[in-house]
Amino acid sequence: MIESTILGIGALLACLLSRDFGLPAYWNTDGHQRAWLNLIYTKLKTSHISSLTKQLLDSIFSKRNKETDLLNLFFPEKEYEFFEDTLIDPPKIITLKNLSDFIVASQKVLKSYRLNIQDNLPRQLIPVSLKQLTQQYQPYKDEEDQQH
Amino acid sequence: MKKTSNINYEEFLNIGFIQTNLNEKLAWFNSATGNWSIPMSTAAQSKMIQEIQQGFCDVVNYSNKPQFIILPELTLPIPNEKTLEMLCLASKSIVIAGFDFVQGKKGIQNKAVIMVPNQWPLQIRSRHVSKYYIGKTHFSIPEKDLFKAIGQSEEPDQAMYLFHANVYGTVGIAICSDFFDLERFVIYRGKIQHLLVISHNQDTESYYFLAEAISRIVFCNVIICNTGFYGDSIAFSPYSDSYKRYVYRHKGQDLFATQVVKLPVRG
Repeated sequence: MIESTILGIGALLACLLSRDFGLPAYWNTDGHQRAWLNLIYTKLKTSHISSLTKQLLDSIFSKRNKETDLLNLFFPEKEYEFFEDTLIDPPKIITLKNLSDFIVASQKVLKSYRLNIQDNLPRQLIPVSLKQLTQQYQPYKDEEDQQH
Repeated sequence: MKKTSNINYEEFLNIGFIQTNLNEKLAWFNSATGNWSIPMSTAAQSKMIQEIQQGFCDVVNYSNKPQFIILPELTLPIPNEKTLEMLCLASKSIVIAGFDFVQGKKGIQNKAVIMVPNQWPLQIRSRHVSKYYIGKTHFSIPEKDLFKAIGQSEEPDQAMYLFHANVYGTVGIAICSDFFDLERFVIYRGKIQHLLVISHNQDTESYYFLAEAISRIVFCNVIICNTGFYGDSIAFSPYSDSYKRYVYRHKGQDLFATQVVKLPVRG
């Protein structure tokens, strides 16, 4: 229940960012919504997204996170240990409080990079981490200075 | 802002220039009908992609491997984006290139793409490329005239970008006449180590003066990659020794050129 609410809010955020409320048609197929989660990146291809917002979207639409959850479901008895390969995965969002914390953190960074000079028109500077564009989904994990 | 930098910056950043040579009359002027049009002609497209491939061959053969490879504004033909992705994977470095004019919803856009291979900055084989598109805010007067001749208007992109390249410092990017955007430097000041400018610019001498001025005001390395048709690609670094400041300057018009330069990152 809470999972689908978070997914819905994520889809809404993606729509607001791309200024287009058309969602991928593949999502309408019953039971296939999860399989086509990464279609959201096609929608957001040309949008200007800061790294923290992208991190938020990554964790909402992450198939790896879903698989990690399912792994615990399928193998509940801890007879053997799994190799920890989730270090570069996006952070987990489990509750609505988590989600709102991430949104607030992302907004805070964007606010600090906004300024009005000429004619009081707003100009927005968008911080983007090149590390996130590689494989690492948590861009500022070991760099506290860029987090503010 | 909290300034507790715990990043161990690398001492130098290598930047590869590929100064391609594009004649605007060949690209957007149809001499048979006497009209201007976008996108660029097929002759110009094949010339561009040939020069891009040649440039990548040259740049990756330098002894110091570049972390960034930059190409001028209005270089990459829109259908050849995939070719550049393959070149980006092969060169194992971030590629910044300007697109040909793109037809947007409200008008004509001038865009650039940043391609990041997924194993960057390691020198191991990457499997896929992530792309980030940026746009131009302030269009120059010749561009506006060109759009008027076509019967369209421009579609500016109001955002500015700050790219955190981890151990290689922070990078700001401007497309051509955004280099005259004063607000950009107000907000970049104290935040960036390198300012990359990709341009298709006739007035090279004024860019050269501005490069020095901006380098001192913002206190960063200024790297301008201009089209080879007008020449004058510049790399300027605010060293305390005056003889070190001009890292690179390539004068002369109608030339194809490649070079890899070494720019300081640490303090």
